[in-house]
Amino acid sequence: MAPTEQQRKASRTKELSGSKKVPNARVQRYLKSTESKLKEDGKNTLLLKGIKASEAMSRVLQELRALQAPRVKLLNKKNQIVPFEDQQSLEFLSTKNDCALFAVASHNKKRPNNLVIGRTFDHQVLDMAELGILRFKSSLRDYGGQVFKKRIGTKPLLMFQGDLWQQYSTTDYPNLQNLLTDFYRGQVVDKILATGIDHIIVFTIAPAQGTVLIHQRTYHIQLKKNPKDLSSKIPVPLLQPCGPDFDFVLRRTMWADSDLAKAARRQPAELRKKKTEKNKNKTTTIFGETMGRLHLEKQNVEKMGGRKNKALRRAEKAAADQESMAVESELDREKEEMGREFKREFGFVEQD
Amino acid sequence: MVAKKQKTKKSKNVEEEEVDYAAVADQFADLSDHDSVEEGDDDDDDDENDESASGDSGDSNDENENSGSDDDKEDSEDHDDSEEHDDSEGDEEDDDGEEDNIARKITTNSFAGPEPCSFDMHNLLAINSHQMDTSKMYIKKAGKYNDEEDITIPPESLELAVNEKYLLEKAASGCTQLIAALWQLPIESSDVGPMVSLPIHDGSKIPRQLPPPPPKKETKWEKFAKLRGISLNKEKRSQKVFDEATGEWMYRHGYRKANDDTKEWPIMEVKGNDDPYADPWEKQREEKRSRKDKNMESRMRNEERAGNLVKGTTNKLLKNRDKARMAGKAGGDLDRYNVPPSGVPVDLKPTKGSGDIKSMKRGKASITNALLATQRSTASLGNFDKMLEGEPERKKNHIGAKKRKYEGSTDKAVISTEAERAMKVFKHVVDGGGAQKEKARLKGRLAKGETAYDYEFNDGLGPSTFQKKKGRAAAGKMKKMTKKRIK
Repeated sequence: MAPTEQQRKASRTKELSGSKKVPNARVQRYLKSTESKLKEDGKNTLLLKGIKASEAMSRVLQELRALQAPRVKLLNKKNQIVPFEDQQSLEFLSTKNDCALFAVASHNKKRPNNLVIGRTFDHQVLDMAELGILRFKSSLRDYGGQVFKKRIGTKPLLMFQGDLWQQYSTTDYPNLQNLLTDFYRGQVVDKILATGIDHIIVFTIAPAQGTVLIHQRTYHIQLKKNPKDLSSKIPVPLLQPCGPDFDFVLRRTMWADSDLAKAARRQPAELRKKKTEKNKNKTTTIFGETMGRLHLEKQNVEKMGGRKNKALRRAEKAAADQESMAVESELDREKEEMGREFKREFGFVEQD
Repeated sequence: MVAKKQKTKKSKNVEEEEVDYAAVADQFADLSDHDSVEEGDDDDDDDENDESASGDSGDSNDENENSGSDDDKEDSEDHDDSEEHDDSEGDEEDDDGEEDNIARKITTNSFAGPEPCSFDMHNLLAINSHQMDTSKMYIKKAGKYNDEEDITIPPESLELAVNEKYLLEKAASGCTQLIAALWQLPIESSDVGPMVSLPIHDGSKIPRQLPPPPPKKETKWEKFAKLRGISLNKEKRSQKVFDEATGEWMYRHGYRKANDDTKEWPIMEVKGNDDPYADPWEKQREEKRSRKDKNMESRMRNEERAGNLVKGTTNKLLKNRDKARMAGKAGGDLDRYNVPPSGVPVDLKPTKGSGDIKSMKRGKASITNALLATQRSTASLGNFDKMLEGEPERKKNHIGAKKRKYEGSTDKAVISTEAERAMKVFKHVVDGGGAQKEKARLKGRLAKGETAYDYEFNDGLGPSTFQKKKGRAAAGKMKKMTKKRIK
């Protein structure tokens, strides 16, 4: 559905030359917000019905909307979409509504209470998983009025229980864990208000009844002081089930092949983890001065050659002269001595 | 009182179930006892829980943003149908006698239980990779699970019912650990409360929505500025500028910008070297146009260099634009200066060979031709019409028209050549004119596109648009138009 390279270039030519009608500023701002960004905001979700959807499945979609609000779009009409056969419709809708996640609800005899959740990359379907809902307790309807509900737009805590979530080789469950995390995690943030956490979604997987069941439970959190350690600042949560609760079974799946999966997870260089600088020898004093420490081996100062300047050379020369003078005088004395001895011995002065 | 009834009903249910989860049953019995105790203490808890709630926000003790909301929560907790167990966690400030009990119960239920979890704090995710104990997790349904009949999708196909309490305990344990882990991260206090900095990297790898944007390519100027060390004015320039005329701060660019010289003032000064007879408004428009052109051109060239446009589009576009402008000007000039001479029928044979309007000049030749044509443009071909004063002689025959000789059908000459001549004509028609027609067309003797026979004309009608019926009948299914009776 996306324009080809050639089409984009042609379109851009028209825009720049003024022959294409450019929309007004508000529309341009919106279009700019849908373009790819370096650091991405949360994904929007698209909820729609398939060929035939029961009232219960409509309620499931309404529940999902309540969970994902405000980053969600719920479409009302039924669509002739079978996700596992043809993804073109889904991709088109994803482009037009600017949604990277989707959930298609349908109900027929062969696949009752069917919910297909999936995600797109670059508006192309990446992964899909079909969940057959065996039990659903709605927070909007089945839990009654006195139960606490999560606030709109809060980020959930997530929890995956059970060893089957880690079985990479034989099963789809690790991929499903990734998909569910993506679906429910909400906006990705750097900082979060520690006291603003108000719900947790728990996914429990266990083999039962011949198949593998997955139980999704949502609990409302109230942070309380730790009764065992009253001095600690770390709170302890009080959990109360508030719904929605799902019991489901994994039916069909369609995972992206490894190349596409890798490409989709590739982050730009600016956001990748940087190798930390090893500043072991840098310190900062309390005055704000940065001091550096150089580590050297032991130096043999005596044997080292230093830089010579005039004064040093002069001194050296003077010393050498002195020495030679001393040596000379010594020699002269010795010669004199020897001369005297010679004279004493032989009576006359030595002639060279 | 209603609440209590509910609880006892639930506990009854619990006891009614099979011995399958006997190990857990004791715990539940304990809890139900505890429940009845705690109900009476709920009012006391209100005040004490408020304090504890306000103590929650670690550093910023002034901000009791939670206490306000907690007030409401505590009130509603009175009427809470309370899924039993976890209220135990809320009652910290009970009497001493109960406290030991509570402490004991708390350790058995939750709080950093025996299963440590691993965390992905980037996504606030806890992973408990221990195997689930299915014997504890599931309860065999005796018959219909009473509570679940009227939920949105009832568990008809499930033979086992999930032990919600067990799940909740496990969840509580994991959640406690997760929150503890959250509070280990660097916290800074802000005016809304304690903000925890989440780690940016090392989370579970979740794919992006869109591929990362390609790095922006430098424009020619940016490259040059970088090379020469010239600073681009991006950060220096302020968005607003002081406008002298109005004496206020207006935007530097755009609609109603500050210090706008390009407006069309009713009176324009003649400066220095300007020609006083030149049109200053025309000049201004020309300047604006040239600036726009230059801007467009440089933008396009930059994009071309960056690879966003096909190489060579700028040059092509400029050439075409110039051509189009010239043609436009020429067309305008034509309309102004080259009006076809009036009184001469346009489709008349031109004086010169080309047939161009330009070459049709007024003059004796075209007038004579026009007159000739007019003279014979009557039903009698001008034979019986009155002559006007000064009118030249009417040529009896049409110029170029030959009088045909009578060809009898029994003449030898006719018989021998008739077939041939007919074939010739036939072939001429079948061939569509052939070389002769081409010649004529090139010379410009044929009508130019004025008739439907001259070229393939698409009139928009086709088999699909053909309607057999017309008018109302063609509208399709007809609805019976009847008057509605007013009752």
